Amino acid sequence: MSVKTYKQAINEALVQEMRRDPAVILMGEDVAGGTGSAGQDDAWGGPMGVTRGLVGEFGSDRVLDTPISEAAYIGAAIGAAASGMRPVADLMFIDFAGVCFDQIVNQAAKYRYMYGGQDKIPLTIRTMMGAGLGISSQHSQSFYPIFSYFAGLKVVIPSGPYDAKGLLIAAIRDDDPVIFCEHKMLYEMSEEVPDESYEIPLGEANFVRSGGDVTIVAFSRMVHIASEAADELSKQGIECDIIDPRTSSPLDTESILESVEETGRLVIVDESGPRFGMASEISSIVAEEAFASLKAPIGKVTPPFVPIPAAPNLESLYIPDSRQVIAAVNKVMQS
Amino acid sequence: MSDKQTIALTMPKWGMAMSSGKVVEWLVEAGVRVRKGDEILDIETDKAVVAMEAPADGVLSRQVAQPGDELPVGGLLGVITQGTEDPVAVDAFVETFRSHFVVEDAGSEADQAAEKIVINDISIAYRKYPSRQDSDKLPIVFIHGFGGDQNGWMFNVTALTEQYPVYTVDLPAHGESSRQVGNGSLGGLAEVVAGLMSALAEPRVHLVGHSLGAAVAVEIALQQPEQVASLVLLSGVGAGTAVDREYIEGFIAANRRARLKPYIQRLFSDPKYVTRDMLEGLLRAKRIEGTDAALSKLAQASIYAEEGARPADKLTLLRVPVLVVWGGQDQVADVAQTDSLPANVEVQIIDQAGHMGHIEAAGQLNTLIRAFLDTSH
Repeated sequence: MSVKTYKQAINEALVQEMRRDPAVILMGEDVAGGTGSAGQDDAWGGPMGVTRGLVGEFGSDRVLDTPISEAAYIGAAIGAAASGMRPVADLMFIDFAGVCFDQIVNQAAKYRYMYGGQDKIPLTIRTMMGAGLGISSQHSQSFYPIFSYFAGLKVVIPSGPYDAKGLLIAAIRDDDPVIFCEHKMLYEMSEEVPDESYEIPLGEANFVRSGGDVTIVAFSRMVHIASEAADELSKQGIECDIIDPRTSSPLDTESILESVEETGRLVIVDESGPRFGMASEISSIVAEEAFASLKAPIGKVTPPFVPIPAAPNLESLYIPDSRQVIAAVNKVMQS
Repeated sequence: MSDKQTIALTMPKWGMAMSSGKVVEWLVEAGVRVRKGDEILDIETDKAVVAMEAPADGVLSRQVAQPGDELPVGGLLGVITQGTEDPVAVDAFVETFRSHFVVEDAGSEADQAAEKIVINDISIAYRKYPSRQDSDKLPIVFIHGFGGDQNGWMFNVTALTEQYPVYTVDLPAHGESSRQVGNGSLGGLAEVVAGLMSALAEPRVHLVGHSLGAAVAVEIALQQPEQVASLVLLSGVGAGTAVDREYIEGFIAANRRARLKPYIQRLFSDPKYVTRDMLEGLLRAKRIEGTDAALSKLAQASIYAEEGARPADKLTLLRVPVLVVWGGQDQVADVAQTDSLPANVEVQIIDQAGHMGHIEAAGQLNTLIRAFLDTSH
């Protein structure tokens, strides 16, 4: 066991799975970064260096730099998965999903179902999401709920290094297509991560904190914003449950309902947009399944319904912060 | 201890990871006389609710912390006085304590990490806790049960290091030890723990074993009698201890919190002991690749293979003092099996505890161990 960053944990999961299973290959724009040129071992391994060092160990047959066409290489990865490989494709920014949407939602997601379970697409698509780097509306979105709409896709949104490693290993071993959404503001976050390989099952939430007064469901980076808020609220005498679902599809509704039935109060904190997102979805589930337990209307903390601004001052206003979470919790505690 | 002291009752540190605890309730009214070792208040940690013992004889003059208060480790819970019950003096004591109190750093990661050593090709994690007294007493080695780990002894270590040096160890396939188990037999496990003692230059120790750990302790005492000064066997009596197979299989198969929970609840007299953090800790160990296969092998070779053995046959061969402690509410290993033990074994039943006496009745167990070691040595 040692302290590793989110980035290192993801890199380690890829290395361990590639060593274990020769069918695991990587493909994407710049995942090797300079393949074939002198000094390829020092290649940058993607814009954040997450795949650095892999082409050196596994060679350019298994770490494939692709042309700048998501439609082409996501499609190729789906084909590779259909024909026996276990590819990990790197869709650099989730914002770029539009250009390979058909490949993902009409091909990868439907294949096993349409062939009556006789074939499978064991594909993982790693992608970056999240605001905070000042890189504008087209590189900062968190629209993972869009993928959660589609039956046939699994969607993973790890909030820390320990979860990232165990969930990525589970995603790669899973026989269905998985969209693995890394938050770009978490790459340098560090914590204890086992050196050994381990799997965290897809579809089981993590109880980050057990308090009992109010339930906060938070995703990805927002888990940390919610934890900051909970530390503050604890000083005021309000103890929060914090649930990190870890995956938005499948969604562990059981854990959410278990907690809401105890607390009767719910606040959902999400960085994806305020409409048709996970906050709306979970509100709906809780209203249907646990209405009688609720002592107050459900609180939602999300960004406003606007494109993400590039100006740092506006961007920081856009991203939900702990003060908003505290205000939302105080509001649901009033009734 | 000289008379007329005023003693600060402070939030204990149970386990490396503990940085704070919450007062659940006082078990003793203010102004009441207490004896050292009496349980005086319930404290809730991330792991469990545990009763704290009085550190000394005296009067509980002040309950400073109230139910619901969360205090950092070392924070002032109350004041015990020995003949100086003047409230003004107690006020002054509390003031002085508070003005000098600094929250200790939770400790660097390095402090918290277990030591590791390779024994029989298996990497074994252990921790050493020096005695807080300068004494020449032999160390106590704690050996956990099936599926547990060395952190399970967190409520016993502090109480016993008052007089004894303490070691805790992760058995093969458990905690932070590696996921190899050799042939998985009791003899093999005993060799590993005895090998660890030799490697650490501890020629003679007291062994405290829980459940499967108790069986390991008996094997060590038989294999290496010169290394063992005494045995405390908690909820287990060695090879042939009757245990619930469904529990073992269920524990191995469970890979999610909801599936694991009912099995872990079976270990305790009251399901309140089973917290989400406890389940997550167990799952973290179980998730490590190879754990379930290793546990399966170990269950086959060290538990199932020994079914039908009569524990009494081996216990009569022991030439060291033996204390058997069992919870009266044990649902996975029936307390009735303590009825047929040989005369060289002292038996103590903790009526209200289940299989996890070291957590459920930590204070009572600590007192029993101390008394046993005091009288037998």
